[in-house]
Amino acid sequence: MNRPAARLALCARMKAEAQQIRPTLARLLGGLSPLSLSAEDRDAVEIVLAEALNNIVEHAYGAARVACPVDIMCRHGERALDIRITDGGRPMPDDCPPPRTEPTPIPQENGFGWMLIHTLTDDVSYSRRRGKNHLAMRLPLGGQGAA
Amino acid sequence: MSMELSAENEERLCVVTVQDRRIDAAVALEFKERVRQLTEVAQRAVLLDLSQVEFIDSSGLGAIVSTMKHLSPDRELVLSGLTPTVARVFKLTRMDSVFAVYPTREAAVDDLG
Repeated sequence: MNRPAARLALCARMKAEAQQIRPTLARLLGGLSPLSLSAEDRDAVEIVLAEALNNIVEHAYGAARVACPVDIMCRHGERALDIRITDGGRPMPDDCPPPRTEPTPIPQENGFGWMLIHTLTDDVSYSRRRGKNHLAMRLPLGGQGAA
Repeated sequence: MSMELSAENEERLCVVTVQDRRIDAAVALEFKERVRQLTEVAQRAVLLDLSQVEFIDSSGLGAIVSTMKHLSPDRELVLSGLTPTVARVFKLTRMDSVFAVYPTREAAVDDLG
């Protein structure tokens, strides 16, 4: 029995450790293969997931002694992929994600992660509930607008 | 995790080839250190051949920018062989206008070697 691809949803859980990001991305992208995403959409999904997970591992956990699980959920909707990520690390400073910054041709070493997330997604929202961080992002699919 | 990199030092150009498929947070620090070691003897330009790299994240991009700053002002860092995903990350962050980017290693060697 094949579910219609338009209703695909999948979850993954990983430990908040840098070495877990690659295999988790591979699992998630493998799980999304029934959607037959274009190369461009697939890249965008991988970039956004990678950057969100990098931020969690680096900032929410950082030097934390215990790496709690990070839960990732992807749900395919109409021409978009909804991504929700929950972790039990530290809250974001000021309870909100870093603001959108315009890319500039100035060589810098940091700040690319959120720049990529904001550029490739719409509707980034963050909340802190019951001691957990909840990040939600909507990634448009199939359009040139996002690039 | 360990990175596979190789370097060929010629008179005018040091060519560093990344033999891994990813430059991401897991290897960014190591990448930066290894490239510094490999380019210590470089006199002029350093070409970073990325043709085998299929994915780069913000940490990898930051490591390449850091390498460029480390080599400057005497030595320029140029890039070749950006695969589609890597090219897109450079474009979205506008770092494509910070580096000289050659389509292939041969094109860069012809121009700089």
